[in-house]
Amino acid sequence: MSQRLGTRVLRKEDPALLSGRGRYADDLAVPAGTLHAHVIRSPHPHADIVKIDAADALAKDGVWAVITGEDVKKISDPFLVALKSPIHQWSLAVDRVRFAGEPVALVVAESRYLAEDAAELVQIEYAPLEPVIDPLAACKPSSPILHAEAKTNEISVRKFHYGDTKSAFENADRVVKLTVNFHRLSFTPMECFVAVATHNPADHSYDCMANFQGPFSTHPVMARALRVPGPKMRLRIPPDSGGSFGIKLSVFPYVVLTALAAKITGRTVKWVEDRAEHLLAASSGPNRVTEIEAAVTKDGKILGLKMDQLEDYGAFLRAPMPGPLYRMHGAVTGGYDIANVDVINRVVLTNKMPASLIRGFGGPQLYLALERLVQRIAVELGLEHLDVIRRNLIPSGAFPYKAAAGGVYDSGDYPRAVETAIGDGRLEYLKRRRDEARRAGRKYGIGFAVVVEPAMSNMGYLSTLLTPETRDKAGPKNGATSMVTVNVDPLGAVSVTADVTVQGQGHETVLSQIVADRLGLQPEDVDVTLEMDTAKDQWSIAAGTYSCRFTPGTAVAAHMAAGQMAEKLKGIAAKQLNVMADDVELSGGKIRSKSNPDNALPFGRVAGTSHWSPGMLPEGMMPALSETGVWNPPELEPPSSDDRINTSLTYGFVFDMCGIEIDPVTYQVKVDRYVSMHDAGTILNPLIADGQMRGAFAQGIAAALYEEFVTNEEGAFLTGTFADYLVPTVSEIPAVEMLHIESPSPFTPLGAKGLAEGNCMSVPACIANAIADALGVKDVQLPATPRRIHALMAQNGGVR
Amino acid sequence: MKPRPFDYVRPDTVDEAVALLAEHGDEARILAGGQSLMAMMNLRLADPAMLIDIARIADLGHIRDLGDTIEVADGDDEPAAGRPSDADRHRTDR
Repeated sequence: MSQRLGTRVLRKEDPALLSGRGRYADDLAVPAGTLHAHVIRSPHPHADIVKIDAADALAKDGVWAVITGEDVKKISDPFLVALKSPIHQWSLAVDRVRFAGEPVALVVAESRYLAEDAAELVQIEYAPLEPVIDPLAACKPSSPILHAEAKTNEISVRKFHYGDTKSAFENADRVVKLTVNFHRLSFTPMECFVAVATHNPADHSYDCMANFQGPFSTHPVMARALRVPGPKMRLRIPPDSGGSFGIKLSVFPYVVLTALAAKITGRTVKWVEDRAEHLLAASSGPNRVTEIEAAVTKDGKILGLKMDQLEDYGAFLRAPMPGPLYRMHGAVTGGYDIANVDVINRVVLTNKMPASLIRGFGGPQLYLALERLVQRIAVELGLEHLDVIRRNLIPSGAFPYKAAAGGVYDSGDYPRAVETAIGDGRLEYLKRRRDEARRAGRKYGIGFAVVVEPAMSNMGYLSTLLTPETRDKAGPKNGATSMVTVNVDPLGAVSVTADVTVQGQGHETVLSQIVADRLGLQPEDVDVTLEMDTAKDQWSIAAGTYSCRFTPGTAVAAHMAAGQMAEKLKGIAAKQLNVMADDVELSGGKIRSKSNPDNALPFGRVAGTSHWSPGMLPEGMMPALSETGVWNPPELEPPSSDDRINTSLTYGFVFDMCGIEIDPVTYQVKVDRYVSMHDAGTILNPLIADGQMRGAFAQGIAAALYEEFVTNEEGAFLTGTFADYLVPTVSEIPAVEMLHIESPSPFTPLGAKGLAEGNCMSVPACIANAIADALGVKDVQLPATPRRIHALMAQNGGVR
Repeated sequence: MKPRPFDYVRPDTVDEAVALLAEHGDEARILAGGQSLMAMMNLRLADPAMLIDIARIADLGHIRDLGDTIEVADGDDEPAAGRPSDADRHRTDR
């Protein structure tokens, strides 16, 4: 079977993972004498810390330290964020707690058991303050203020104008408005956070190991907090990971905390997060309230769009927040050709756990609002939903397409994707099912969702948050660098390192396919090592695994590095084969003359020349067989003076269509049929692509129907176990039919785009639209639990 | 999520287990699989001074072929792996 790029090569990762030989953070050996840490967390959502008395805890045998906010404030600096505001966050609460679960003290002892026993003896006196949980309430002048120096909870407001929205609204036949809430949730990895740190007082350096996932722009944030230059904060990342989905960026405050504990105790300190801590305080996606309105003609053409997006980041803004509010910015008009757009982006803080990275990263919030609006336009104008979509889709042949807010959509054929998806009787089937169900008095609805899926973020997108004047002063930010190194050893064995962190995606397999293809070898001839060491590996601030950067980024760097290696080997072989270099090819493990294939040398023999007899190399060639490919596409420009920003390099397309029925007894939303059409450009490995899309689909269903972090008005966190926070299992995930068309990206040499987040973005919107269609309602709050559906139907007199 | 300190005993017979229960009364709890109790202890919601682990009591751990049914007794947490039993014969016989 062919092992080339584009074929279903089996995952190289699986034999180790499936036989229990994964090497995860908690499995790795630590030095003798390592101490174990336990975090004491705030029971209050908002309170002043009056007094911490650790005397009894410190008197216990085996307890080395009880570290408080006062201690960390003395030896570390607050974490940097992009938004300049007088808000300071350290790795432990200083003076005040601002969410239930916030770390208040760290007990360090000879075992985790001793640390937890001692934690019960630490006396902490709090003076509770009034909390604010609701983002709209937090914006009111009467609201309690989380950070007194900031004087407001609404810490950033930016207004953007593209085109002439005012005229569009004046000339419209009708204005359609909607308010959409996106809820809080997380995608819980099987493995929780792990951080291990050692301090070396001889050179004032820290050696840290953590299951951190990137982006590595957070490394300088950690080093600055520890008051050391980057090289003195070595960070190592294990070879395997029990999942991340964006969440494991948020281990970073704990990396700093364990490092400080190591400095204070003089020992290596290890902390392993448990599930209760993870649900309570690790990370959440931000909740968002969007007021959205469209100016439309009576036949459904959208002339202009206004969006007011209020995003709730919880108690603190942490780097790289407020990313979800800006990551989609260039693509804020989604798959539609809308020239006139006004956007207001507002950031608010409340007494909840800080929000951060999560798969989909701003997409689910945007598309729930935009796609619900398009469905409402159809309802209010008495049109078919699909016809309103068709009327507004970016036309075929319009690519590369420059979207109003600055996104440069590289390729696609949106109408063809939609028509293909509904074809072969698929839409007819849904309509027939709906007719049958409705005739029988059952509640059945059809939903659609259109999603443009960005991949590989422009490192400058977050600076759109600043005014053009502030950006000018700070200097431009843009680009996204990817780096991969290919080495060939004295016997011709090939090894690869890359600037990604492992989370289970199968990068090892795809990198070996790419490199093998370029060198005329098989994937099994290429060894890929992806554990990371910031002291020894190539990395940039863009490094890590997030925002689908692997396929348009790291994969291209691998293609380049292997190409550079191939050219070098051709040069060496040309001399030995006595032909011109452009007559040399690498194929089937040989390096040979194209015009006379019998004139050939084994791959290893040519590679060996460089190692064993550098004197035989062509004149001027350097001997080492180590090539680093560096990829930084020119399309990722900084934000323009009129605030247009090409937020990502590639833009895939997703069109979803589903039929759902409300169970008349349980009020569950049951998916009858789900179709998802993808255009992700060239597919590098269909097996891995399919796994990624099905994973995103499952998490889309989770967000639509099951998972929600609930904090009540008093600030108590109500979803602290898996009995309350419902993660769907395989039995709850409906079948999905994945369809593809391929429009290769002209902006990357491989033509491949990201595809692992699209269904996280499309499924909540598609299911919400289907529920709106089934029940004839305007407001659909997700997750659409039986309780919510029952309440909706009771309001509308639909409950028996 | 670690339990407070507790004593752990693993009696070999039912008589020993009963004697331990009589001696320690409410302070002691029986540990069979631990699926519920250990989670409660980890959350420090349950706080027994002693756990009496009955998993290795031979009289309690068995799998018996009763003709039309198979009886799997509590207290046997690793029948197939640890002890070839009637269940294995059952599988080979039919």
